[in-house]
Amino acid sequence: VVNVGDRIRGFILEEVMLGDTTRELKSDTPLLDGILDSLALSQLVGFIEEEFDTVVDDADITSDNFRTIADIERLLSSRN
Amino acid sequence: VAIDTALIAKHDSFVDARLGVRERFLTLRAGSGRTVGVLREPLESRKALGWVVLHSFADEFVYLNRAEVTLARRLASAGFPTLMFHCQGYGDSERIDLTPRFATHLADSEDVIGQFTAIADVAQVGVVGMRLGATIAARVAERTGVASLAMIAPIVRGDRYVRDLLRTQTFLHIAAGTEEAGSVEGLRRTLDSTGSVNVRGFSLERDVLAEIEAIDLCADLTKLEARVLLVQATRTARRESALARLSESLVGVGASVDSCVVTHPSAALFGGKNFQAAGTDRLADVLSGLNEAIADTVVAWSTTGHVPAAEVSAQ
Repeated sequence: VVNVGDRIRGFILEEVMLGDTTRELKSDTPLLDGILDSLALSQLVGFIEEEFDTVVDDADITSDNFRTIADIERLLSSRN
Repeated sequence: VAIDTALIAKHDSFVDARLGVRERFLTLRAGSGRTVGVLREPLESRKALGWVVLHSFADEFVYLNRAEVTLARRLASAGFPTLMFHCQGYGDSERIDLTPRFATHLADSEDVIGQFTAIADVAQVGVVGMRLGATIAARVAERTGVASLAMIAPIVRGDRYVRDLLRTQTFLHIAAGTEEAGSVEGLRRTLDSTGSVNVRGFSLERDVLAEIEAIDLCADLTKLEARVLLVQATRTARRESALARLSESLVGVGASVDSCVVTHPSAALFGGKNFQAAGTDRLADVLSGLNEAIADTVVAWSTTGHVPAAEVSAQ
């Protein structure tokens, strides 16, 4: 079973970084420093809502929740 | 000064021999003023049905243009005369000073559809739109009684659409590190206090957004005796519950509905910017495959009366 963090990592690697294997993407890699721009954030939230069958609330759209993959995992686990 | 009208006429159209299409530029009456339209016609074997493309709102008006032009050219190439035009308040319209509203989109579109059969020499009319353009197309189809309606990724609930519009501005602020200037809740407070809010360069007024927020397409449509194509554009083949509800509602008000899911990895960006960084020194159109697949689907349905398959996967 692929866990939440790996599914998000897979999405970012494939859809945002377009398979760029020269950059490392760990759970604590800063996403807002050159990986996720506004379009990628929009795409990522769309992916999360669809993939995990959830709705991301307006109040949850903050940099604190999207700074790293671990932050996104925490956001999703807090909703379960 | 003598005006060479023959020379002007010579340059009012363009022929694309490869597609078998002529593109003709027209002046149309649309609501409170004139506007410019582009009519794409087949060079041979003209069908009885012609299509009018109804564009979307705010920045989607810009970003969906490539998808709309792709579709219009494909339809014309397949024999269906197809018209695109700008509603008042947009680039080629006479009343560029007007603030476009849902109501002006409807009125302008009705006006143009009233002129279309004579202009395009067709017996039947279809309307097609994408995102909010699809929602507008559905309401216009109801009001004008056209034969066919194609809805691409329609907005079913206006409140969700407005929320997503505001979110796009918040994403910009988060990515730029200026989040305090633009949380969704902060943007709503700005909207309440100043009467307008900036979303990706478009100034959106409170009453215009309130009008859109009130849209509930399932409840708003009361009678629609048309053939309807409902296309969902999505990353996965999972059917959206909102579109399933819309399909049921359309059947309930008299429509004959065909549904189709077009999947594409970048479908979440549909209605947004086409070009994204692909490497360090170039941009790529990440939506061209999706746009082509949507055009294929609408053309196939227009030609045969059936969708090519329940699910279409585009790369």
